[in-house]
Amino acid sequence: MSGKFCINLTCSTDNTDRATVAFVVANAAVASDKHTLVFLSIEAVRLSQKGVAESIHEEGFAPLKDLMSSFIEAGGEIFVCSPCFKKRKLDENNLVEGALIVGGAKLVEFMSEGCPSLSY
Amino acid sequence: MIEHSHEWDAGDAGCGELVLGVRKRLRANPGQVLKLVALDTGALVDLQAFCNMTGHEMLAVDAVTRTYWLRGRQT
Repeated sequence: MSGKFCINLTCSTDNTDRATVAFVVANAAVASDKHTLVFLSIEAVRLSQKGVAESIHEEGFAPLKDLMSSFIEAGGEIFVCSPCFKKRKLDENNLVEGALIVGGAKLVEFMSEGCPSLSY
Repeated sequence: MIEHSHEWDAGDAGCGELVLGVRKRLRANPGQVLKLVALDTGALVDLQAFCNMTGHEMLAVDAVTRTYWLRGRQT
């Protein structure tokens, strides 16, 4: 069984429920000793910017900022879709801790030997 | 300075556009060194992953100018 787990997240402030649940599941995966990646694509790339997650606290869940911090502290990785980031003219000098801007090849490498994935 | 046989200024190209362009040039010149300028923020990690998967070799990087020297694998 692969020790990897990938979560593709496409939402941020446009769908705070999806954004939150994605990181809840990501924390479950990393807590289960999976090499866990959250790939931020489409609108989710906004979460790579400091200050954005602070605005999201879905009822019944921990604040998204805390979920993301816990994920990184536990060894999770966050990849940020480069063309999605560029399209939105975001600031590469304002990245949250642990976020890495990548293109598709890096994601393909992570998943290429078999990797369960979920998409939100 | 690393000797190179061909070069490509990829400008802002990134992601699939970048690696496909690099692949085309490396495969056209097996064993030769491509000097590449790629300004995309994700280019470094992407090119490293690309080389790991394909057998091409990253010889050097100038992070300041975002210049890369890549050797195409022998076919």
